Amino acid sequence: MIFWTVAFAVILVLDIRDFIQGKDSLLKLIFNLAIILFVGWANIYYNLHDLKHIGKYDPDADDEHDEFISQKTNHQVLKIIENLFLFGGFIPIIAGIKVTNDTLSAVLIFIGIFMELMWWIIMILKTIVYLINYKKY
Amino acid sequence: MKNLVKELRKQNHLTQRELAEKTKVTERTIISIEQGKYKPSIVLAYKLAQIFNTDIETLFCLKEYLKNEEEN
Repeated sequence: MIFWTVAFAVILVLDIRDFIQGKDSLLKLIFNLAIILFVGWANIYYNLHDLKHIGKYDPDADDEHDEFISQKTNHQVLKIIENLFLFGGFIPIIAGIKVTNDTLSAVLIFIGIFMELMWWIIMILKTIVYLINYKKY
Repeated sequence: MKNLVKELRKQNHLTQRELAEKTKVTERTIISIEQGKYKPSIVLAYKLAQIFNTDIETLFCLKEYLKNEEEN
């Protein structure tokens, strides 16, 4: 699985490089991206089934352990997204301040602020949902 | 979480699949419990204790678990 993830990442970087250098059109880049995403998703899905398929067990049937894994996964993904927005948002802001081109600077700062805003929205949503769940249970 | 599931399963000549079928969970769940990676729900713990004719406290070494918790 790690091999395929690295392979897809390399193909993606090469595609983007070709697009930036003007060798590929935007349409071809989008088409390649769609193929990579589909094959990547299929690869992950196959690996998950392969991992879960032991004996006669139906990989589509979920039990309490699967629910636990699912909840843990959601929690971890949310944490990754939170950190991505919080810390990743600083990169375009800093880049925007350093860049001399006004338009590019404005776009970068806007992207950075948008990412920080998304982090705040997630924080607010988490607090609201936490309060509701605290009252509910 | 340390437990005696594997030992008792072998004593009762049960495979992981058979135990999974008896408790209506997946084999992956039994494997994770035996490895101590997953803490089962109270209902599943009770089902396992019933199959092995023991109690949850013994099956999941709860006295030892609480003792370790107090020490840490």
